[in-house]
Amino acid sequence: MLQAMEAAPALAAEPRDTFPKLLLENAERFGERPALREKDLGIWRETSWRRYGERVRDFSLGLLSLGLAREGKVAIVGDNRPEWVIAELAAQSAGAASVGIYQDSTLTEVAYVIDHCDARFVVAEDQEQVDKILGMIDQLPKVAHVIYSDPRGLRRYRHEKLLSFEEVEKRGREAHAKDPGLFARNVGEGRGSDLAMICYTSGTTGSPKGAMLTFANLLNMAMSLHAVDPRRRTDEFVSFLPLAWIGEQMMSVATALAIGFTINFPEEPETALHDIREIGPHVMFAPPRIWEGLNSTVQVKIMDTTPLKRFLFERLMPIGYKVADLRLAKGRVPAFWRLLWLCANWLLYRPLKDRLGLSNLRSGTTGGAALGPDVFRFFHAMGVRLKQIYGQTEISGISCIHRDQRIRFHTVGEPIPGTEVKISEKGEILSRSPAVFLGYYKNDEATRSTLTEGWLHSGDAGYLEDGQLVVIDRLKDVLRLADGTQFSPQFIENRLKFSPFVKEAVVIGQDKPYLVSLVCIDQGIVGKWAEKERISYTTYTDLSAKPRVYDLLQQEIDRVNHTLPAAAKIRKFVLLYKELDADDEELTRTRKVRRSFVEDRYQGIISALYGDEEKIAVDTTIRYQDGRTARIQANLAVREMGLA
Amino acid sequence: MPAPLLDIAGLVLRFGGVTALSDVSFSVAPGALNAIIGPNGAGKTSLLNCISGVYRPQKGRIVFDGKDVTRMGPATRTRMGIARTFQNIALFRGMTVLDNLLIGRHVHQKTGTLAGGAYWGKGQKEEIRERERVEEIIDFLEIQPYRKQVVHTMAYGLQKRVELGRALALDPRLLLLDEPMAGMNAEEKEDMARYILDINEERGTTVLMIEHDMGVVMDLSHRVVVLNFGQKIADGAPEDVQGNAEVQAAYLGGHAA
Repeated sequence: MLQAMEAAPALAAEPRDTFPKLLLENAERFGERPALREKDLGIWRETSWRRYGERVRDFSLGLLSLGLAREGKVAIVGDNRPEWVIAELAAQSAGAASVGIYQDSTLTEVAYVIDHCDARFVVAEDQEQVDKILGMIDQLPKVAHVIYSDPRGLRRYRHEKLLSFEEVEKRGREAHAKDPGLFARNVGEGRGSDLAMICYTSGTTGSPKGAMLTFANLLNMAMSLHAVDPRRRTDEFVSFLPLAWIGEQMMSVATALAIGFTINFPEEPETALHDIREIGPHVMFAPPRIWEGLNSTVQVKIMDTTPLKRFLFERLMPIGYKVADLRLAKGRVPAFWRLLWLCANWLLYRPLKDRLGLSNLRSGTTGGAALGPDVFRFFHAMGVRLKQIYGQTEISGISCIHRDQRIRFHTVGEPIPGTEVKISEKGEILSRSPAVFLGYYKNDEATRSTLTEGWLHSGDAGYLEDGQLVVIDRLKDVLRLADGTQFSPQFIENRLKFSPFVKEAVVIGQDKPYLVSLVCIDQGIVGKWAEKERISYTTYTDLSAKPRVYDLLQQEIDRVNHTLPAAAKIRKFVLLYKELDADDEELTRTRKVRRSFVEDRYQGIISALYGDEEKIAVDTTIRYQDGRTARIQANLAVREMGLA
Repeated sequence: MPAPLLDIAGLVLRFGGVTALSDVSFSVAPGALNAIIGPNGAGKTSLLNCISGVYRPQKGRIVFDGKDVTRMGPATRTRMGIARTFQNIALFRGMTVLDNLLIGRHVHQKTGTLAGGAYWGKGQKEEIRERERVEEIIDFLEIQPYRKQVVHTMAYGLQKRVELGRALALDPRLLLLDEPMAGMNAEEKEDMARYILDINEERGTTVLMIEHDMGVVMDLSHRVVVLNFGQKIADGAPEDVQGNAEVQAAYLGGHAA
């Protein structure tokens, strides 16, 4: 490593325009400061910036010795671990691009992406992922090497294309010993305009499309965001969302390298929330479901706690709500309320934030979908200034974010510096910035329809309000009832989902006389409620068929109906007998509803909702993850809303 | 053929007038993954109890790793490398997963009571080393999310996993499993089967298990011993045993010819 470091001063003069160059610079500047931390065998183990650089160097030279070409592709699949980002940076150091694959993708999705991106190398985390890939190796003729990082269960595997992460690193060390300047030269050849990664978007329809992003795109976005939502070198960040997702790439790779803060990898995906508490991150970026999850954890635990604690919670939260409302509406809070808030903070918010791991949080952001105002207010009340961000993979992740002084819950904030946002005649949100992608890999047609004169077509319908962007829905999802009334199903669904009892909701009404909804209850919270109400139940199917549960959900829907225009209220609903599931292809991997698929699948139920029936007999089979099937027979009740 | 790790010859166990085991002999090769099957009351658990030292047989010999252990107590055998799990989970219910596993390491602690009671010094070093071993087992069995959870609050399938973990904490060379899959659902069974295979293949531990699920037995085990009314009626590869007329009779409730 010393040799590489000696070569580094020459690099300092060069622009810091690629990830590998930033890594080398950080390795030299920060040396033994932690770059990565991973919880392993119960202990947080650090990788210093120097060691990070060394591991990337070894793996990169190892890949080259195995025949990785400049402009080649390396596909990476697995949970968030140091090896994931090391493999990515190693590929980029060699002039190749990385392609992340969601670790819970189905076999067809994995095969499609690996084949479509022309990857010669696949870096897979463990036996589970290796099994997936070796099982389809005949359909993947371009793949020459499958590299695994966790040897557990793989010792007895013999396959000519299979080798371990360590073997590649060992090859790299040998190559480095022979030519100590090789790595630095490779890195030096990189340019900001080089392709850094292809991000496949889990489209709601059709095959995934691979957005090509350059270092310049990604670093531009990272620095523009930094300008309005600053990060510090001493910050801690927990990387627990899929690294195949642009949002995680933006934080754990682009921003981390540009600023130099520490990335922490949880022990297992299941322990992420616990690990967040141990780390106490300063910066946290998460989709709404994580924030909603934290919120509902608190709500559920409060139901179970001692009367004193519940009393404190119920008395002190209103102070926080009041202060949050004052600050958001007027921008300033009278001294009296500030004092009250400080007391409440000491008694309640501080311990609560400690429990959630939010004590140190300076920048909390949510993105990917709308977050309920109740959840927003909850965090603001505690002093966590949660902000909304908006963007697409195609613009390197982010185009808009709330500014500290101007947070409105229903907007997604203002464009980040260097970004222009406008609304097309059709009402579509268009954006333009140096972070806009090169185009879709091997799909010029899609590129042409998405990118015109530098303007990125988001496919979202929206409008501007005092310089802040409001997103209504996907343009193609703004629908009309038979009488022509416009409505946005997703908008209503999100309102419904703001109720803690509702896990998923699908609103239907295109070319129909009125709106109906399929609702999936949240088993955890409704179950808890049922326990408290002394309603016994066995399974999800059973719970969702209880008349009292129907009553409960009717109240929730009623509340939403009050906020909707008269012509577009929900008239009837059923509670589905199962949760919508990504494994049944009802949700995308990022848990968005695949509307047309769901409408097709539950066609029988939907047509009954437009009839006079009060009961729908259901007899269906569901498929478990392991391929087994089970038969469900149930009678779904149709509930008609009492509309005034 | 290498010398067997466990060699049982002419084992007889009686409770008063009841003969639980009569003249049972078989051996387990090092590195094997073998199963004992048989109808209930056949003497399977009694046999396991004899091997682990809970029961003393009236006749016969149990040789473990070339040493006659027939007269040794359970604790001595544990130190020699025999560990077991129980049909009904036998954990310290009020303690955490971590503590249960650390107790499994206790037999290997060398620090004396006094030195161990002091915070610094030899005891601390040993504690750190033991914790590391336990963490490896937690990682191996993928129970990280439950490290600090009290055992009786955990799901049954997980408790079984913890019990297996405690047996592993003893660093056994021979692992005796008494119905590791009992009461589990299909998914939990599959997980458990994978752990047992990994224990055998990756850690190289010899495994002898009692199991009722024939699918599991036929899939996993190298050899199967069949007991019926305290007698060994078959001993061989799974497919041979399956075809054995006497075994089929025993399982169908008929009388052995």
